[in-house]
Amino acid sequence: MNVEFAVLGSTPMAAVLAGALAKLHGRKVSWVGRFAHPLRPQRGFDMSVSPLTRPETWQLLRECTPEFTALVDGMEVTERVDPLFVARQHHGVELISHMHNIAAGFGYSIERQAISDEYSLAVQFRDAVRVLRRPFAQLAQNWLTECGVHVVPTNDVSIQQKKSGVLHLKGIGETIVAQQVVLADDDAIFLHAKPQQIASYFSTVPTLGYLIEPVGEMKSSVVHDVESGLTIYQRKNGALDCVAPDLSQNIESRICSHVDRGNSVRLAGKTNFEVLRSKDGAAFVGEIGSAKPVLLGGFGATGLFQTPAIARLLTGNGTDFEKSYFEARRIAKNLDVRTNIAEFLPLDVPGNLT
Amino acid sequence: MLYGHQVDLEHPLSFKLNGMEVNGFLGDTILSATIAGETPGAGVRDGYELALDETLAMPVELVGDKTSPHAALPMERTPAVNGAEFVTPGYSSSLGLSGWVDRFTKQARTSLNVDFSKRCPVPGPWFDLPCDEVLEVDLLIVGGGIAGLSAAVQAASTVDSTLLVERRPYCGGDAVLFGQLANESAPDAVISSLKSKLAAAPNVSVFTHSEVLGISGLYARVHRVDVVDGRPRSRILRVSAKKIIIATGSSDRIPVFSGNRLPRVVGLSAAFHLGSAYGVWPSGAFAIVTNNNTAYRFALLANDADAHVEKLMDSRLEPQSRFAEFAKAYGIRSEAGLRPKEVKQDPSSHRLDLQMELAWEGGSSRIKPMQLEGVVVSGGWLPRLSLWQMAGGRITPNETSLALSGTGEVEGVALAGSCSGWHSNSAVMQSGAKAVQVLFGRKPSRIVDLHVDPAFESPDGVLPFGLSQNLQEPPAFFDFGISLASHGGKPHPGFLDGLFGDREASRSDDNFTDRALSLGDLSAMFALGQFTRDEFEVISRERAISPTSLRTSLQTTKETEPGIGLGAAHLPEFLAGRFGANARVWTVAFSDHGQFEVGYLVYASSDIADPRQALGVIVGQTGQGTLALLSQSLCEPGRRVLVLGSRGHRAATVLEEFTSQPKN
Repeated sequence: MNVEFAVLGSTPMAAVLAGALAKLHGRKVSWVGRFAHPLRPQRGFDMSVSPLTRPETWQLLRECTPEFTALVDGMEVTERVDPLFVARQHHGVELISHMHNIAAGFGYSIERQAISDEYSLAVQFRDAVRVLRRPFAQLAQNWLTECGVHVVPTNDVSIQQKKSGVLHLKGIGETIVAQQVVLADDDAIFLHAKPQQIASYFSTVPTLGYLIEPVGEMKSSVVHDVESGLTIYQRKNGALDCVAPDLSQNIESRICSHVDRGNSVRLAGKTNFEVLRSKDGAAFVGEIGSAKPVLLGGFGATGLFQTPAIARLLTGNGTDFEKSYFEARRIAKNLDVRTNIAEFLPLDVPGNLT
Repeated sequence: MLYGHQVDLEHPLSFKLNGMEVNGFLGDTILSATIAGETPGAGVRDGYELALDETLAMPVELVGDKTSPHAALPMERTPAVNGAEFVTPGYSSSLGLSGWVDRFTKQARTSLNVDFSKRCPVPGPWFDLPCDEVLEVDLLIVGGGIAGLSAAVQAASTVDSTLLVERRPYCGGDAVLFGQLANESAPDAVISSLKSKLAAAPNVSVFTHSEVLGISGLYARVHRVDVVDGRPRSRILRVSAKKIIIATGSSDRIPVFSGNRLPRVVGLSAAFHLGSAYGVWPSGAFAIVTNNNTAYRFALLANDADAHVEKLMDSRLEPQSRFAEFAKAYGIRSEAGLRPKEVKQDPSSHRLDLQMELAWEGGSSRIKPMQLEGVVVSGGWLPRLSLWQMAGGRITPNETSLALSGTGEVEGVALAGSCSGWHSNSAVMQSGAKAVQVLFGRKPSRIVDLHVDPAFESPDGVLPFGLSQNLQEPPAFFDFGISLASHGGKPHPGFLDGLFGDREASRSDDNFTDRALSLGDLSAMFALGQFTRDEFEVISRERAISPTSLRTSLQTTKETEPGIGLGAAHLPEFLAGRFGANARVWTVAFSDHGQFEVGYLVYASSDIADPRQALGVIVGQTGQGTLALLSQSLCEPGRRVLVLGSRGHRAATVLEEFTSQPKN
């Protein structure tokens, strides 16, 4: 089968990018991926806001979020949330203060909250959008098919780059000949990029995912502790999905600190995995050396909401703003090339393990 | 033995549990005496009653001894003590309206009345307690069945110090239930012989009433119950061992059908141990629902104990077994090709209505329901491999037989007995000895397992399922235990549930999958085709875990008040280049001498409010005033600027460059 784009990845971002390329741009697209089983602890979140500090990223999100929700309209996989961002220490407070004012400047509804004496600063966004990963996984295949995407529900595929420049995807019972392969999530990059290339371009962050038995209602259904990078999402039945860089046992203390005392915080599942991050903390887009696949990563929770712009970029339809935005975030070994885009890096915060 | 080898009928005793008087005998556990006293219910979840058994027994506390978390005791491992008074957590001695209703409707006598809707069953608090004592041994053996006992006997002559830990109050495991193959010695004789040898071995300690809660490396966490000065006591031990043998045997699986954990529905192994150890056989006429030969053996043992086996129903079409032949000879009625559909409790008589259906494909016709006092269920056997997995081993399901195997290697840890796949008692015994030989570097002997030709001894059938399309039927649980993962059993939806229900959860027919699961839960889901073999391995590692509480030992401290930034000395990386390569930190002053918060944006004039066109930002406050990182175009003393943030805007004046300015 010949396609223009083969998008590899098992996250909503990968699937929606494939859908956007087909539905909005009329391209012939294969999506190759398999969503995690719903019993597995969550490994990430998709939300329209996150602790970002670059105005241009907020502008991109402001423009793309309505496009994204329109794109997946009818799937019923989004919900409105009021996420809380909290910090205890200087660096976190500084981050939230900057984020607060930039986001407010773009018209986001965001306000300070006095949630407890434990935090130096807490702010809450109003009317952010979150994508529910488990329903999305159940509904995405039909949606992709309706978008005209050729769906290959597996991760077990090999890529061969031919002299002609096309890429052959094999091992899936058929050969897909793609003009362009997009590795649209970390797992796809780990599977198909060379380990030494990954090591020289990116940081690999060990990360934990927890599922916690139902507890009492939290201050907000989504809490992000900016210093540790911990995100907690509370399901309607009280269970918690938590994802955080694996810094220390301190993560468990931080989870407990968001639950009312008197509740026992009991483990229902735990996973560990690795997350790719650029060395400056900003997203990355582009090829590594002469290899043809396009790599997308480091977008964090908001990457899914940027997919309309990424689809425009890949099809050559990006606006001038989008072109310059993604050009600044091209993959580069030398960080001098990627100037003025650095974002907050929880792992680099000194003293946050104390 | 069939009338209760653990209890001394010459010494009756009584104690109180949640205000009820419970009678028993010396040697009873709190659980066995409670069940014998016709209290088969543990409580209610979403309107459906749940059976009290060793997997859903609440921790109890001695009245007057509630201050220490160590006061909590496991019902199934705590000896009954004459005159003691126990309560389950949260129990109030004040009856309240529902208590009086219960008293008059006799509800209090048939259930412990724990409200699992408000409070999910939790593992005992001992899972989270600090240890009381540290023990060091050369060899730790987990499990006191034939494999564990055999390993201990082997170790007695070759290893300096051995500790055998058995969760039940006695050793022997399930060997008597499984019976022997031709030419093998009777299991009870084998057990007696092994116990005698151990009694003469001073270097082997045996802790009964003790459960290994977890293994990490070569350390094990053990919860032990003993009786000191007439009072049961709970202790946490940290056992450091040079080697560990896991000989935890197999647990019985539950056929998955609606109502499979109602009171008086009992698992085969639990029914066997209640009967053989404590003389508590099902009262009145009961049926056995099974897919395997061991159930016929149980029927024979129950028949010997004068229990009333109404009928045995086997989901296999033409099961062959020596036990089946014996059962027929004893006049025990049996019927093949039937699987359970549902069981319901008659609210007035508390009797059970058991509905079976034809088991073959397409044969879904119902047969006439049976009214019974009890149902014993058996869905086959699952190796107990949780500790193996905790220790670092893998669990691999067989795609065809769906059986689980412990795979991989763990340094210093070995599996033995039926949990490592051996079938016959003789092979199980040999495997215990071999595990010691392998771990201590001796030449291992070869194990010969005995098998009977399938023509004479049919293999276990597939796990019977009877899943209802009606999700408001009583739940069909996937396993015994506290996870309560189940199909159906959803409460009737309220008027608003459709509008505000949990969309993440509502798309699934399965419940309570947001709690730690058991291997039995996952095995049943695997049999239902809910995931692949590879997914099973991953999901079992991630979800079949000990439901411990998170640790909160480390404290994080609040460092600063909001609005006070670090100032120019530590400009964050995310500000790099934001206002041009030549941006500088300057002091600014406001007309009202007030302060502004970090993050407020600085604009050249009041007609711009786009953050992308901001030319500076407030970065902190020092003794010299408010600090702003400014684009070069604003770095001019006396320059008027507008500062805009979430709390409004004010005019400000640029003063001078901050003196200790770092490179941005």
